[in-house]
Amino acid sequence: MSDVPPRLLREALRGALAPDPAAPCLDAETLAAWADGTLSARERTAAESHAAACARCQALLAAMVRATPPPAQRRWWRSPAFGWLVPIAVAATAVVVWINLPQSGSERFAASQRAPAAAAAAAPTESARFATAPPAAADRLASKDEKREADQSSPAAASAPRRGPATAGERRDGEALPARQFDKLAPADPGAAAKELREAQTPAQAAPPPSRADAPRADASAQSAAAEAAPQPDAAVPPAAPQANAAAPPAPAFRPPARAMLEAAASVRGQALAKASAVPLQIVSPNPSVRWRTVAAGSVDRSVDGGTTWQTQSTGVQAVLTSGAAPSPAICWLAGSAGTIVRSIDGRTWQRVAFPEAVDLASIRASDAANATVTTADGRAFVTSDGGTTWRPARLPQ
Amino acid sequence: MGAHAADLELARLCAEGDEHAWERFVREYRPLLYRAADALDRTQGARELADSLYADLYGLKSSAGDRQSLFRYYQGRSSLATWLRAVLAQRYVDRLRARRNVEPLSEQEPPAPGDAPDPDRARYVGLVTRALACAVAVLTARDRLRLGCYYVQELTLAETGRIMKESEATASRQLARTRLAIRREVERQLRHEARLSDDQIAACFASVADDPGPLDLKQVIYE
Repeated sequence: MSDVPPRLLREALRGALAPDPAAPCLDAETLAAWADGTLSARERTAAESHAAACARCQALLAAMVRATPPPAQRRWWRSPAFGWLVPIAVAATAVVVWINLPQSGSERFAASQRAPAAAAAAAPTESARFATAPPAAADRLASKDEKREADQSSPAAASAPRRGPATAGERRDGEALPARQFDKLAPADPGAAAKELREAQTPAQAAPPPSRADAPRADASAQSAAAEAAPQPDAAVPPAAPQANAAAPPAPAFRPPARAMLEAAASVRGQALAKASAVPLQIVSPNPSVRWRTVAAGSVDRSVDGGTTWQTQSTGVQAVLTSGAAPSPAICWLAGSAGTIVRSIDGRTWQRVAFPEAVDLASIRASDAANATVTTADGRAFVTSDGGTTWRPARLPQ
Repeated sequence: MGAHAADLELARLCAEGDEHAWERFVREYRPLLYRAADALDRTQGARELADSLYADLYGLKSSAGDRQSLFRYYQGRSSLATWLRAVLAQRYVDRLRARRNVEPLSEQEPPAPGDAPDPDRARYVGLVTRALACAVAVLTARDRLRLGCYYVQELTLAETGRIMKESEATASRQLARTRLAIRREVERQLRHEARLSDDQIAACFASVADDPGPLDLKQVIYE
């Protein structure tokens, strides 16, 4: 005892007496409320403080817990911890949807009006444009709305020239998205596109496009970025709509939740496809010396010496290409996400082949330059016998 | 309170002597009370407590003629079932403690004549007891309660967690943390306050861990 300072003992004793020795033992009412979890925080703290130093109350608690049957085991997905998953999942979905929302009609309209000069300078054919445009510009070019406008202005949707490249600032949000997300939303049927737009348009959006000051925050920021990059100062007041825009009202900023959810899911699926594309796909022609391989979105390599050396070719699309078929050393079909199909009939240059739906394509088989069969990710098959000009549903082999 | 309005109404009717309410109470709660009694004492020794509880719940007429029922203490802060279990647990613990008070102390066995007494043992036990008391004293009430539930009341981790309103894993993790804190504090006390060397501390721990002797953890925790 002598080697322990008296202060140590005093402090130890005082510490032991800290939980208010005058506090009464827990009565049955408090004990039951403790067990049922109906004590207030203060009451609970006081009860814990007392019970921590009271042998009888601890024994009471022990007897109480022994006398109470254990709660029924809840399924893991019903545990309170997972209750947080619901709002977290909703918030994550909302963020994904928000990221994927297109620009408002006014901004898109202004962007389309700033482009005509560049459009005139652009290559006259899509294949040529794709061949000359750098990937980033092509990325920005292939916006959903521009495609819609092009689709409606010309029946030959796939081959019609687009309005031309937009300036770098006009697609600020689009740059963050894979190009396939734009491509996949381009409907091949102009009537369906117009119907879709009509259905989605709200009364407020049927009114003239809002001024820059009235635009939503995200659009305003995008527009300000566009104004910085674009030389035209009249973007705030859109000029009169051209014929194509008169026929097709601007796409709404708001989309039905179900469709938005589907697009969010498609985005996630696209990311999975992008990951899958990290593994090179190699298509070997009947002559094993000639083969293609996908190396990155939008480009393929071709080898004529059995894979010893490779030459890069641009397909003109930015979509992820996931399957291919080479029925001859000069002919190769490639298919990928968002209904993207490209074909080469000379082994060197590529043309995009129109496909009626913006669905992910799982596989493609081809017997020559005209006949091919594609299978969509959702299990349907489509056949063409005219090089992709027309497609018809086919029955999948059982 | 509102969640237990039906229970409160049943208790009120029973306290007033409503026969239908009492029949309903017995029908619904008698099996529950017996199950709780059997959980407390597997030999069904607590059933008599449950039966005596019925008598108190039914109430006895006082000299003034009014009925005095135990139900009048039920305030509806919990379900009636939980309150009944609490009352039963209270009576069970009090009876247990009363019995222990009158039980004769077991005769302590004299030390074996062949054992050579460690000259430092008494000192070590005293030092560890004091250091342990200091280490436990600086714990929070919640940590002490968890410690007592697990080591003194010998509850399982799951039962301890139910008292502490935490999961079994959390109870285990917190206990491990508390043990570590105690160990460090005891070491610190022995090293700095009692001026023991590392070798002496190791010898001290070995001596006490093998045979704590008069070191009573219950006393350390509750005092």
